[in-house]
Amino acid sequence: MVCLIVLASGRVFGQAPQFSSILAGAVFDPPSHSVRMVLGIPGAARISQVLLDGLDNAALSPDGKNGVALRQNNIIGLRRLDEASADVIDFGSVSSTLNAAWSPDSRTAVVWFVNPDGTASFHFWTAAQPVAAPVPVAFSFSSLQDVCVTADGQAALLAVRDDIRSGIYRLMPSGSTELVTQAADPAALTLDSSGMFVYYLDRALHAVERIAPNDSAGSPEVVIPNLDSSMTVTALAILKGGRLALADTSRLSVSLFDVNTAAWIRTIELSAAPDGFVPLGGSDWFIVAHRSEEASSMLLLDSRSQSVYFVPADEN
Amino acid sequence: MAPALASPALAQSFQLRVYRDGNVFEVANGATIQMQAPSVSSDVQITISAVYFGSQSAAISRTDLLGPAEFTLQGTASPNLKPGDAYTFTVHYRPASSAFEQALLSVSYQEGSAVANFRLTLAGSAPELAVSYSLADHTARPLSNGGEIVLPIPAPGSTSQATVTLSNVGSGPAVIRAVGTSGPPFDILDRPILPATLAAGQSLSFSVRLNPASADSNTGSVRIDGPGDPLIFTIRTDASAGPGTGTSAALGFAFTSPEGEKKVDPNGTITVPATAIGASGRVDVIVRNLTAQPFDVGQIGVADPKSAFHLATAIQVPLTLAAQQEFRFQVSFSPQTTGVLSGPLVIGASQFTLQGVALPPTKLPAANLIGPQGAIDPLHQDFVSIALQEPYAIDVVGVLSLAFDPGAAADPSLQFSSGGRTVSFKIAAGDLRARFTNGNDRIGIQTGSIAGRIRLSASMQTVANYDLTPPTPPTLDLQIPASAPSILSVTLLTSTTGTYAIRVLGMTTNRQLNQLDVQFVPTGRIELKSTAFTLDVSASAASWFRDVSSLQFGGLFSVSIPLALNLPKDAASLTVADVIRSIGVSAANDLGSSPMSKVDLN
Repeated sequence: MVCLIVLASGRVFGQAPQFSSILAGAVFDPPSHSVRMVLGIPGAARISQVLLDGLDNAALSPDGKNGVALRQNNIIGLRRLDEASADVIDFGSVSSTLNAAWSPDSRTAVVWFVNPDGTASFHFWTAAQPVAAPVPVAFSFSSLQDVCVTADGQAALLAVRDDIRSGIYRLMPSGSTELVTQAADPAALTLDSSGMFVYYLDRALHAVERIAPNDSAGSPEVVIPNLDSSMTVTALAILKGGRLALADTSRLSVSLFDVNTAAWIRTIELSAAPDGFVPLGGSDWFIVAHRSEEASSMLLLDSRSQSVYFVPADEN
Repeated sequence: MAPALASPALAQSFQLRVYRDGNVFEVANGATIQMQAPSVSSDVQITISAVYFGSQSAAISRTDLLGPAEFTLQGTASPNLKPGDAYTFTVHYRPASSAFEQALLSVSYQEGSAVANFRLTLAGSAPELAVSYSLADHTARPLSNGGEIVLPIPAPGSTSQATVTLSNVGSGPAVIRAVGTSGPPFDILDRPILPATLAAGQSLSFSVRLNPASADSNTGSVRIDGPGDPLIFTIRTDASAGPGTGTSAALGFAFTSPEGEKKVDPNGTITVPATAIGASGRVDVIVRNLTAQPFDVGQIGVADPKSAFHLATAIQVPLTLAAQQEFRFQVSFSPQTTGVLSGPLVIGASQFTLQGVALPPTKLPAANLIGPQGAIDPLHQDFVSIALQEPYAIDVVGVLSLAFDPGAAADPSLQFSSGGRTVSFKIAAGDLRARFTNGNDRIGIQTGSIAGRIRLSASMQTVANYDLTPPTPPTLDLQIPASAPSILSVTLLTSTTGTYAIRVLGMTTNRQLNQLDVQFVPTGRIELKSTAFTLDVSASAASWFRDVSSLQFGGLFSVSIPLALNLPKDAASLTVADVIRSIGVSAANDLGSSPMSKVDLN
């Protein structure tokens, strides 16, 4: 058998190699209260034109095409940010802070907010669908340490810390919750790329653990034991190549570990406090610190080179 | 049958006219008529004319005046009036005091069978002046007509003065027609514009000054022409009088200089030692009370707050200087620009010119830019800092600029981490390191993706913009060489329709690209007819790099190469990964070729 590979030099399909723009992805830029496009690649990237402004905060989907945002304390959805004019959908809920998480496939977002009685309610929003009414949960808003969305977007995973029910819970769009595993002080949830495991930090154990999101009252696997207790880890990310990244706000750094061996690989010092690992445009790049003021730059982690780059903003 | 009581309608059978001071005006029944006497015991009068314009006749039966005896009637009668006839009489008011008085005038009449009346309220008022004077102690000393104004004896060559205040404590307006003195050595300062009318409760002040030819006792008089008889006061000097508020002649002024104390007269110049920008010079100013009495200095200050001169001594005014005592205060001189600078200094009623020579600041110690230099890679991020070799005495501000001499085109990604190609910094007095607007002592720079020369240079100045930049500013030169292309990533894109494309992300620092070489490493499951291709992309790349939209990305390029597999029918279900283990791509421009960059498909 012989296979003929045809490169489109034009003769067969009439298609020529096509040059195009290099758009890293959309990002919420706090100083300008806007969603802006990042052009270029790390090392030659910059925050450029405004796609949508007038926002107090926004959490964009990993592919940057959709988002949830806060505008004058109203929770809103943003659809088709990559098109000429984005759709704005009012969730009908108010909050003074934006608390949101996206599924890895950028299809589903959960947004949670505090009720007058101190409990929390959750919106499940599939960007292609209308907004459903929020579902209340029995947990207090303040007991929620972190939230992530499963790979299929069918559930949210909650890191809960309270006096009697601390652990990882699975929240269904119906509002029902199931215990995934007990954990004394869980925080910093993240899914691996396959969605097979949810990783989290147990601050009581100073360890990173993981468990299958669909487990029920299961036993987690310790991934990174004996973390330095002086670290203030606020976010985790699973990078390509089996690397686990920990954002440390007290040391202004990102530390990398080998997921398989638990070995420390390196620590990257930052010029600003990390505020998470937000995927940029579905690429290998994570925003580890948004701009905090006009004269500051965004910090971008390139998971392939395992380096952090600053990204300046145009027109400062 | 008793006559009907008057009704308002009947009262309107009369038109009431009031004649006063040659003027006539109509008033309504029940109105109030002001009768303002020019002074107590003087007479003011009005004439009232009631014109009957009814259709019958009106017989005036009574004219009554109810009120104090200061109001009197003259010319009243009981006439029988036909339409058009007038009943005219006069009301006099001669106030016995300046208190406000009221009286009710009532005129009764019979019109046909009806009895009616009309009424007017008379409001009497009169002014009364209260006179007082004050010296430097601001204590009011009442004066009665014929009383004395006693001034302190001024020091030789100086003056003495008192403030005379006229207050209308009566109920009517007081007209002040004239104020004056008996002549030298007394005169009037701040003479009011006369005649002036003081409403009840209002005051008016002026100053009487003694400017003696000798230190002998002086006497004179002050005359005030107002309501009633003229007010005449004796004015004399007495050593026991209160503190003075005389003019500058009572004060002596001096300032310190390197040669010693220098006397200065009002309107003279006080010279401050020459001072460099960033430094602060000072001069002591001395104010002496030359008189034998305490002396109030009402104000001390630099009249122009924007000048380079400022009071360096906290002074609470008014400042009372004891007899023959002095007061010293400091004026600082902090120039922001070079040259001869001046500003006004006010001490009491005297003004002086502060003057100082502003010298250039001391030379800024050598400043260095610390960071990369020479050849540098594209897509590189590094940090630059600025340091002085020695501390400097004053704050230095400046701008670090980034200039690019591009080999091909401008590169918008060539920026400081704070954004843009300029960044401000400040070196605090005494510090060595500059602090940038991001709050750090270093600033990031990313080199972009186009070959060219990057020059970093710093300009520095004082906070007030006096240029401190040395003739040869501190610079750093970086060179991004033009080079063969780089392949940054190779990605196989798979569409939902089963077609493929190789996406090549790369960089060519001279924005020129000739060809792409693509190599396939087969998996071995099926024989590949060809495993290497060369694509001439020079035309499409030239078109892309000519397009203005490509300028956004400097020397970066992203090119997609459509890929198709012509599989035998019995292998149609195979995917590209079943056929190809890896894809390698290299790119070439006029300067050479990049290494092959691979993507493994399995």
